[in-house]
Amino acid sequence: MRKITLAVLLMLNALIYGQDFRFGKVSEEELQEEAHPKDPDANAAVLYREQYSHIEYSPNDGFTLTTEIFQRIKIYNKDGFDWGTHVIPVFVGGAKDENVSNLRAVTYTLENGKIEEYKLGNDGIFKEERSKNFNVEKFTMPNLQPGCIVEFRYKFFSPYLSTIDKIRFQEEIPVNKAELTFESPEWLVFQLHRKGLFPLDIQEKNKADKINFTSRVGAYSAGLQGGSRGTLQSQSIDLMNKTYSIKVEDVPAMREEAFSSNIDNYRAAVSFELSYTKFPNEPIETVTSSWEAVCKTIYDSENFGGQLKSDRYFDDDIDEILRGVSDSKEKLVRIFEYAKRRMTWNGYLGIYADEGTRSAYKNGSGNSGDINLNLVNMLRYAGLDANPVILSTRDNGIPIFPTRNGFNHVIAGVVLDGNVLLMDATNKIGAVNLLEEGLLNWNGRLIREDGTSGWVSLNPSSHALENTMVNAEIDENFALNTKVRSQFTGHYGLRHRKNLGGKDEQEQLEAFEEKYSGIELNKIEIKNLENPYEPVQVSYDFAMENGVERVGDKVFISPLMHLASQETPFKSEQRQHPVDFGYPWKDRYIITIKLPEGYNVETLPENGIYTFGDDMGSFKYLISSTNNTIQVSTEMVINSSIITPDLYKGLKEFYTMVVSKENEKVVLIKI
Amino acid sequence: MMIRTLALFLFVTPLLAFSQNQEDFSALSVDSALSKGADSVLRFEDITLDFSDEGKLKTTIDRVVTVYNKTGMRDVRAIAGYDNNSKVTDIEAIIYDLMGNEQEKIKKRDFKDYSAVDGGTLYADNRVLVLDYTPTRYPFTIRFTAESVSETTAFVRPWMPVFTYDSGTQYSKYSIIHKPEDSLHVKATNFEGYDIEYIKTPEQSVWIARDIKPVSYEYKSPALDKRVPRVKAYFDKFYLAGVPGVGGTWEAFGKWMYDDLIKDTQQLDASVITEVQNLVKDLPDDEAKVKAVYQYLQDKVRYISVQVEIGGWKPMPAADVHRLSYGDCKALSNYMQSLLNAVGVKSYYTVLYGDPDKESLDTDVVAMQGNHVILGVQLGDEIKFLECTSQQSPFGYMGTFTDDRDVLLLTPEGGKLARTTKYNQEDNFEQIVAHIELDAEGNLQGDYTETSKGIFYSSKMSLESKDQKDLSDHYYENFSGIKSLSVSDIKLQNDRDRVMYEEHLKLNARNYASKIGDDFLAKINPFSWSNEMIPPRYTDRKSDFVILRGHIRQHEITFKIPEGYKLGAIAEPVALEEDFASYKTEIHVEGDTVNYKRIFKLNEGSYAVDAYEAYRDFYKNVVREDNQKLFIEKL
Repeated sequence: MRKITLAVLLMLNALIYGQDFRFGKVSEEELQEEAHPKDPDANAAVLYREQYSHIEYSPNDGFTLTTEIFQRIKIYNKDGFDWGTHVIPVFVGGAKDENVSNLRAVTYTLENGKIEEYKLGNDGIFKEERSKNFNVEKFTMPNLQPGCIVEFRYKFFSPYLSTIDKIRFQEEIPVNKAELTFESPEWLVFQLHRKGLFPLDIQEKNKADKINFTSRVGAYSAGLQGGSRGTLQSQSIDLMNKTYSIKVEDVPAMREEAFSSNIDNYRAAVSFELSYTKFPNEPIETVTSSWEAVCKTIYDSENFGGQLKSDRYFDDDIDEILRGVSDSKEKLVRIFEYAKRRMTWNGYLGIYADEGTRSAYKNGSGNSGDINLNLVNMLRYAGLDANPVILSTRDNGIPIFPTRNGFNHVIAGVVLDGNVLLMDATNKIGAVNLLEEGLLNWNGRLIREDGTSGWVSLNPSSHALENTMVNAEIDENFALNTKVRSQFTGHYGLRHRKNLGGKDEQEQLEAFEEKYSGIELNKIEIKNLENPYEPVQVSYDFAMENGVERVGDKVFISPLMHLASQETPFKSEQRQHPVDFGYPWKDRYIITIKLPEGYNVETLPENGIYTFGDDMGSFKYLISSTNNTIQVSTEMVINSSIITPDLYKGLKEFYTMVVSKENEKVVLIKI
Repeated sequence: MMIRTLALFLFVTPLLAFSQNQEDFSALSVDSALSKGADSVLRFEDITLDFSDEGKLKTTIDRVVTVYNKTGMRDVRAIAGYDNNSKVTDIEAIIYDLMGNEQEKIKKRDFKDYSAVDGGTLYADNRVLVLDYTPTRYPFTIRFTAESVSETTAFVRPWMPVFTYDSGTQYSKYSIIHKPEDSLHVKATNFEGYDIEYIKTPEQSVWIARDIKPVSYEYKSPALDKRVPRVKAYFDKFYLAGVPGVGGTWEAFGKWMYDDLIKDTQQLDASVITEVQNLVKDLPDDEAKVKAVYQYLQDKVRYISVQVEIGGWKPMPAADVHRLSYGDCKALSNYMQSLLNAVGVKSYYTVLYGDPDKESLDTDVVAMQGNHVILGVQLGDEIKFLECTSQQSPFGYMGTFTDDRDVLLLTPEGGKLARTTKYNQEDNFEQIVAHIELDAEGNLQGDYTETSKGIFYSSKMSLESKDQKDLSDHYYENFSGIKSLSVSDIKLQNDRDRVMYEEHLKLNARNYASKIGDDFLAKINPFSWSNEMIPPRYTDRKSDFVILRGHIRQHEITFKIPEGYKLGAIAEPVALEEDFASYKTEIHVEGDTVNYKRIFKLNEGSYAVDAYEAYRDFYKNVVREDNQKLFIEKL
């Protein structure tokens, strides 16, 4: 019955749009098209994509998910050939494996005005066992040519129902038309989450269905000969099916852009997550639906809340560490530092403990769940108000909707004197309230012991700070001899610890020479790399041979010397996605330059103050001279770590002015 | 593009004795001369390749490494590969703490089992077992033992007692066991100045190296295997995934490869033969025919890497390539050869290393080598090489991946060595011509033409596939020295016949000149090189430096100043000349226009370490001279 309706729908579409989106009905016009009418740069386009996902019941497997995919893709040129190879991830090794079946695929070309078809054969299909639980099925289409069209369809079977993930409507190429239908029995209630800026029209409806099954009635056994196998009886249950359908047209391509955090945050997509089940004659069982419910589900899991119950395995160690300490803040820092020392992160992220807190503690390594749930446990043992905070890293995208899968990392949060202090013991160079940049992704969810939860901001409230003092002298050969002292606080400090830690002096020196190209350092001294609670202090000195330019009897000095930006990072004329600085920051420079004998200042650049947006950023430039010295001080501040695309032009303009100001010159004249 | 290199995966067995150090696994006992500046120290290594069983290679590895930091972990190489023709019979790792006490034992079942398909390959049947261990503190010591058996004896894994940069070596032993009648050929290099012991008997050759200090990577230095001791070995007979092979001479080896791997894969349907024959029937000579067939190939196929038959060494049949229109380097070169056979032009399946550092086949080592295949076409006395995996490459163009190196041609008569096309200094030419004008606001505008030939051509081939935004962004990155730049009217001309690429565009830069009072200060050459061009500094550089390809980079600029202004003092032209490079500028003033020309020439060659500082100084001078400014005074 359903098939007929679909077919009718498709026919209707064909009538309305003049294109026939049935498998095999590729038209000559489609094959003749040389470029995408709305996006002539596109290498390929999805002409039509149809996904029909439905949950079905069978007595053997229970509820399972079947997804039928059909795509028709136009390839305009050779750069679009990547769209002729497709990869389907397949999870295996559970009670029942996922699988791909009924794969049919054809390449269509136009040869001498005739449509030719090339079928995908078995030699173009590859099954690869990536690891124990993860296979991929790949296929690559035969006979691709610029202008060709590929079509494929297959069925994907999955026993996993809890999330139907990331169904994309937007790609790096235009999507002309896509349709999604998702159908589930009324007993399984899904929540739909959408992503991206492209408007999606979602239709929901209910329709009656039946589940048929057979059972044996009256079966009993009585010895070897006798007994009865009973009789087979057919039964059926009436139920309602809920259907979501989404149709989109003319979805523009979304291409990667520099300085974006994660493009998946912006692509049009939906996912479905099982929020609760309500079987006949059974109580409602909540899975997700609200943030509160999601967090409760996570907390109730043995691998999360269950890991926070015992302290017997570390109590002696903690007692030892806290001996004689009564101040709460001091306790917290000691425990955090101990957790960092005691356990090493194995590189895997997760909100759940993988090995278990006890075993991770004993072995000294584990995933992020193992380590930070241990940390929470230890902090609680010391009487602190500590709770786990689950979050999504930048790579994982922003969790906009209540979903279990939206989170991929857990850290510890302690409420002390009304403030939340965040800690991540997987990062050896982190400090209290100083998280790795990849974690600064909107909000995290703090889950309390009673299962209630609330948001905490992950964005740093304080600026990363650089304070740099330069003392320079121009000698009689017009070389600049320069001494520099810098302090890097907050995230700047963290970044320097990450880049410079474990390096010898020579490598540290090279790192700074690379940062400020064109200078050769004589020596460098770096302090506090090991102590994340103090600013990183760097002192170095260098001679800059090309630092001063002479034209006739004039001398031109760039007073910001190596600190002047050489170029603006924002060169593109437009921008589609927000610019993400990661955290607010402030750079302060104070520079004093002693002039050579026999020269006077002829012109100084003007003082200037530039601002950007509504207190989003500012740049101050102050310069003055006395007898034989020039003093410059500058301060560049960015207060907002995320700049939306509508402000891009302003940001670009601001940076252009700053770079230009930083490169202005002082002119000296021979007396 | 790569042929799967079977030899890459190392096979392995536990040996009982840790003979040199009497089971001393403590990191404290490492000689500081070996650990200074090192990420790891190879404490002990015993590799045995046992060929005594006909058609089988048993590899055992026992390796002890002290690891000082995260980077050093890679030096343990606790990995073993296998496929349909080989298996890992034993693998284990033991971790020891600083004092040398055993901490943890990792058994075979706890190694991770992955498919070893790299990103560029669609399918291959290689798999690897990899140690999954998170170090909890450094330094620690790890002992890795493995044993494997393979039906491929064609690759005798070479010995390099210094396997990676920044790793010291205390003791490394390498043994090859073989039947006395199978004589072992050996090529040993860079032994001078190292403590290496060599013991040879009729059925065994053993090398032992002791106490080698770590070697560091240095910019433009020769590859590591050319700086440290290495042994390569081979036999006259071998097996490739169970298939017997013949070596001894390149001729015999090439004959075997041709007969056993290539010959039976070249059949094409009669209709295909007729099709290509018709394609070329009116063409005057072989070169025209080959060009037409090459174009046919480039239009028809695409590159897809699938590695299956005979350990990934046998090409997919030509008929399949024709049907599917895809294949890897072997399949596509072989298909091209089959097409050329059909039109009666002689060509050779050509095995080589695809590598930007011009790695040649080691012609002294008659054995399976290479990671790539191209096609050599006989045109008169000359052989033209065709890259068959590229759909864009001009006819006969090689590029940095395949130029100027020793390769092996397979002919029905046997193997022959040859050398691919070399691009000389004058071939590798990049020319920028710009006509620019400054207005009274200090803004710059003008047009720009860049011509790229020889090796420079290859880096331009991808420009065409960029959309308008990416293309402008490309120029904004390239001309990063020009602030507030905007480019327009970009025109790309790819002349595939002459292998020449031209880029034309218009430039516009606000406030190009700095305002000083009423006057301007402006760079003559907007495309000047910045400090980033200066080679990195080494306080104590150890290695010579190599310039692989000579080239010429020339800028010609006319710079017009605004009306109502005059030119102040003008920089003097310079001429700098060194063994490795030269640089010359010319500056002439004609009325309100400055004509500027600069020519930079880099000379191919290998230069002694002593010249490195001069090389840096040379670049510093170039950057300084490139950035000369005009002082433009208001009248």
